[in-house]
Amino acid sequence: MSAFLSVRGISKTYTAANGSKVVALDDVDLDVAEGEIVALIGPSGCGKSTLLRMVAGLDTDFGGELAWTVEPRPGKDIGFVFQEPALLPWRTVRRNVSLGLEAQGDKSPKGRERVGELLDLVGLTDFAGSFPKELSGGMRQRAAIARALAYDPRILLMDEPFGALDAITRDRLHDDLLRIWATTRKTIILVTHSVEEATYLADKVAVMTARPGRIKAVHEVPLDRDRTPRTRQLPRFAEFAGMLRQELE
Amino acid sequence: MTSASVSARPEEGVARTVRPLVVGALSLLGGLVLWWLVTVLFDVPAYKLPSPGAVAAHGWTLWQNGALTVHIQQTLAEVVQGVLIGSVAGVVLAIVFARLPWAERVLMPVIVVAQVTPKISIAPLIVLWLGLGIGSKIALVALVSFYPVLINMITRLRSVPTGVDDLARLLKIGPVARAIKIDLPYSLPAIAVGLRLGVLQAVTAAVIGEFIGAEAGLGYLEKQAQDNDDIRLVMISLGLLCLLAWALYALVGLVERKLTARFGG
Repeated sequence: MSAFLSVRGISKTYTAANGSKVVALDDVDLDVAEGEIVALIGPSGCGKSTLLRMVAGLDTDFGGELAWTVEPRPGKDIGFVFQEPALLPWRTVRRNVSLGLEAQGDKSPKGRERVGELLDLVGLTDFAGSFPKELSGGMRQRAAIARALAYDPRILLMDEPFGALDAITRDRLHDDLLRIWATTRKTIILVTHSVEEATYLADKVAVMTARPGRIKAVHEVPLDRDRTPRTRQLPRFAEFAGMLRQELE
Repeated sequence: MTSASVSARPEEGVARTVRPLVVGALSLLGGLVLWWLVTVLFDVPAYKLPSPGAVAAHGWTLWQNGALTVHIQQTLAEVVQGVLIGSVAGVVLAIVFARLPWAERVLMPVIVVAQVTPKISIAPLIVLWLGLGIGSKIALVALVSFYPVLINMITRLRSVPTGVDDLARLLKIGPVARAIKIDLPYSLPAIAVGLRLGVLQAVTAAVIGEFIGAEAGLGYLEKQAQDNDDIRLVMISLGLLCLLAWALYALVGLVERKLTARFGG
C-alpha cells in the first residue's frame, strides 16, 4: 500500500500560563496508507487530539511536515467526527448531514442521493426529519458520522467519537463504523483512549506517550479485516489489547 | 414524555395554565377594589384621586371620540420602530465583535459610556438634534434597546460549542454564510431574551422622549394632563402605557418561548 499521508518530524511547543515551555509533540513520524484504519492511542495530554487537528488543518501552528500524496482540497477532503456530535439543533438530521454539501454549494442530485445512502447506512432513514434533541446520544453520533462522510472526503478523522457513549451503544457503533468502512473504504484516523476500541477497529495502532508527546511504537493488529463481535473473544484479541495496555503504563 | 403525562391527567394540565391567570386577574381586581374603597371611605376629593369608575368613564368617552388613538399609535410606532432598529444594530454589532475582537475593544468603551449615562439626561440632547417629531423618540428607543440584545448575543456567541466552531472552519464556511447559517440561528433565543429586557426600557425611553418634547404620544398626553391638572387623563395615560408595555412584553415572551424550543436544543 502506498503512503497516503506521511507525518514527518511534527513538533509543537507552547507556552503555558505560568510562562514555562511545554512540549506538546516531539518529532512525531507516522505513515497512513490509503484505505487503512489507524488508531492513535495514549494517555490524556499526549497530544493525540492535537496531532489529529493538525492533520485536519484546524491547528497550523507546528513544526515539521505533513506530506500527502494528493494535497487535500480545503473544505472538501477532510471529514471530522468530534467528541460531541456538534449537530445544529434547529436543523433536521437530513439537513445536518447535508451541511457540508451545502457549504460547498453542491445541490446535485448525486449529493442528495449520497445523503440518503449514508442515512441508510447509519440506520437513521426513519429519523431524517427529526431534530437532534429527539435522538439518543448514539443516534446523534451516527448523524455526525454521516455528516462527516456526506461530501465524500478522502480521509475521515475521528477524535474520541465514542467516548461519551455507554458500553452497549459504543459496541454497536463500532460495528456500524466497520460496516461503513466496508462500503466506503475510507482512510480513517481514530483517536481513542480505549485499547479494546483500537484493537477492534484498527489495522494499525500507534501508541503515544505524554510529556513530551511522542509515538512510542506502531503495531499492526494481528486480526483479520473482517471483524465481528466474536472477534472480541479471540485469544489474539485479548493478547494484543493486553500488550497495548502494558505499553501505555 | 411531557405530552404523555399531560394526557394522562388532563385536568391538571388545564389547571396549570388557568390557575395563574385566575389568580392574576383576582389580584388586579383586588387592587381596583382597594382603590375604590380608599376614594369612598376616606372621602378623597376627585381632583386628588378620582374613583376607578370615574376614570374608566372618562377614558371610554375619550376613546369613543378617537382622542386617544393618535397617541397610542404614536407611542407604539416609536417603540416598534426603535426596537427594530436597535435590535438589528445589536445583532450586527455582536456578529462583528465576535469575528473582529479589535472592533469590540475600540467600540465597547463608547457603547458602555452611552449606556451608563442616564437616558433621561441624553434625551434633551437627542430632542435638540432630531427635533420634536418621531425621529428623536425612535433614536432614544433604539439606543436603549440595542444594548441588551448586543450583550446577550455576544455572550451566546462566545458559548458556541467548539465542535460547531471547528466544523465551520473545516468546511470553510465563509463569514457571511456562517453568520446566516450558524451564528444567527444559534443566537435567536438570546436575542429574544435581550428583546424582552429591551422592550420595557424602550417604553420608558419613548415616554422620556415625549416628556422632554413631542407633538403626540401617551407620554406627551400625560405631561399635558399634568400641566392642566387633569388627574383623570394622567391616570388614563398611565394605564394605557402600562397596558402597552405589558402587551409588548407578553408578545416578546411568547416569541422567546417559541424560539427557545426551536433553536435552543
